[in-house]
Amino acid sequence: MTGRTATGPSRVHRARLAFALLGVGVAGFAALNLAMGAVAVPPADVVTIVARKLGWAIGDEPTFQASAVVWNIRVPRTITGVAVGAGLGAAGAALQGLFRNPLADGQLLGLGPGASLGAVFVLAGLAGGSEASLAGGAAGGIITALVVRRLDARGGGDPLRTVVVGIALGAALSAWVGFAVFALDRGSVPPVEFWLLGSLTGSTGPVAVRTAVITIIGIAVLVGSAGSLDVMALGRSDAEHLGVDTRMVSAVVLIATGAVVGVTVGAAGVVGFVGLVSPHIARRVVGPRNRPVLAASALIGAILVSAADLVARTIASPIEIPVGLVTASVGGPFFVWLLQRTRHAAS
Amino acid sequence: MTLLHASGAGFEIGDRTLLAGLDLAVGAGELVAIVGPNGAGKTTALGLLAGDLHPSAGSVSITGRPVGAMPLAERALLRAVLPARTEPDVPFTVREVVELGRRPHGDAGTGGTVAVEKAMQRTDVDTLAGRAFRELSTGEQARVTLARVLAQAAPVVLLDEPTSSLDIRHGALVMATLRVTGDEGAAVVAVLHDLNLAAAHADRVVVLAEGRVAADGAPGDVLSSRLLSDVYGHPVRVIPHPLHSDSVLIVS
Repeated sequence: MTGRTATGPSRVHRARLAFALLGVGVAGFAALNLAMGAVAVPPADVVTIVARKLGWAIGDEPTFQASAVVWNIRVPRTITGVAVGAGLGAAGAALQGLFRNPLADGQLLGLGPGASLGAVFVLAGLAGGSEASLAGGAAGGIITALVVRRLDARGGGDPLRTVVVGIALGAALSAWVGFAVFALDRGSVPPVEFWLLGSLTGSTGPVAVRTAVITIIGIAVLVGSAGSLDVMALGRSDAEHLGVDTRMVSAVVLIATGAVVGVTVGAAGVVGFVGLVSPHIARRVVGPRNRPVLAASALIGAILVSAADLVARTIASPIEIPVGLVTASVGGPFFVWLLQRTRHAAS
Repeated sequence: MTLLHASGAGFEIGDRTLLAGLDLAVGAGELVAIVGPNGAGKTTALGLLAGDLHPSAGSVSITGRPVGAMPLAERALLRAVLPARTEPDVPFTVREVVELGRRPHGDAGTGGTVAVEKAMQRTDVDTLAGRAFRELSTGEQARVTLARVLAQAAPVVLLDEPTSSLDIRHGALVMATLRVTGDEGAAVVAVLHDLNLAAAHADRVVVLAEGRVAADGAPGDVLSSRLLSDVYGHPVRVIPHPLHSDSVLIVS
């Protein structure tokens, strides 16, 4: 018997401690993102600015420049980063639970590129702002999720086959995103780098609020389905014998996942590997059950994207590098390691 | 009281009849064994009784209501099903797997604890409670799955070869457990390959052959050398049990 399979109070205790630490981690990286950047603002002033904007008049009146940088740029960007990370982390955990496949991930299975294509089409067609990007991303994500479900069912649910099909689908969709961006009006559509590598640069207040709201709703739906996903780990037939409507659960989970991944893409482009890596870390900390894994994976995703954005903004300051480059540079090697381990377990 | 009732139930795929004319009434406290050669329609019969298959003729009802028309969640409160094969790669511990059996009742962490503990003790898996399911042997996994089915505490319990991967002690233990489950008021129907287990433990034996009921009755009446030799197409002899005067021994 190992610590990983221990049950009872020790595990509950460990999980509580883990959630507390993860919460502190999210708050810590959010604070660092508010305090650090190309324009130096002392931490005390950051606190003053945020407090005053929230109607709590403390400290001295901050400068207009510092106030604008913190409230108009860093606060929305930090919220979007946390929401994008939490959404990708929870979506990855839900997909891995649904497909019973440790290699499932929203970006890897093509949901991200599909959402990009949806966002590009809606942006070009409606010439709208951030609403068009978010709505188009969500629509593209949901449609791609349902396509992947069909392909997975035809392949009999073989884990590696599903991943390979998803990668091929994603590559094709990414290419179509490129074609679409070049063919359509460039004035209303962000450049191709945004869609393929991700960036939190354009996070305005409305983007942050909308992304956060939809992500929270999506994660709530996924957490609500977690108990059914536990039963579905027994296989479809056994789950139905236990009263779980597997078709309904899979439709709900895929629509919620597609919407969440799609909204994160509409807000920040494709940020790779967060959805793949976060659930694995979560399972090591809170055990295999889907509810705690989903919640922990959301917090871990929020930490990863916040940390990656901090690096992206500060490593070559004042130049920014795409946040997706940072997550991919760390997540890529992790994925290779994971594939090796899966092959090992299968043989 | 009849809990499970099949009336002229049949099942066809295309123009192939897998099962025809299944009449079966199983009451509370009864342990019924379904036996027969490969391809006789045993698993099809169980699928019809469970509501997994919709009868192309006749009907199946549990507590008087057509099982196919019930929502899945309601069906799960009335009947539990042990599959012939279980998914081996389940990431949970043994206790967590058995707790999933409480899903229809929604009380895995609370009132269901008693049912979970009892089910694990009866199947001799309580000592494995903290182990990872996927690391167990096939026979251990089969017993854990049976514990999960018993934890569901449904009035009708359907089992597809509950003893097939078990050693001689655990095979007998499982049959004794099914007997107790029946004595507590459940209607139990098990597809069995081991005719001696059927003879020793079942109240009634239903012999299927080529998609039809060849015989239905008490083991002593139904299990005869002539019928079994005929049905299995292989010489089979039924002799008095050397240790239990009220039972028979089947040898081939």
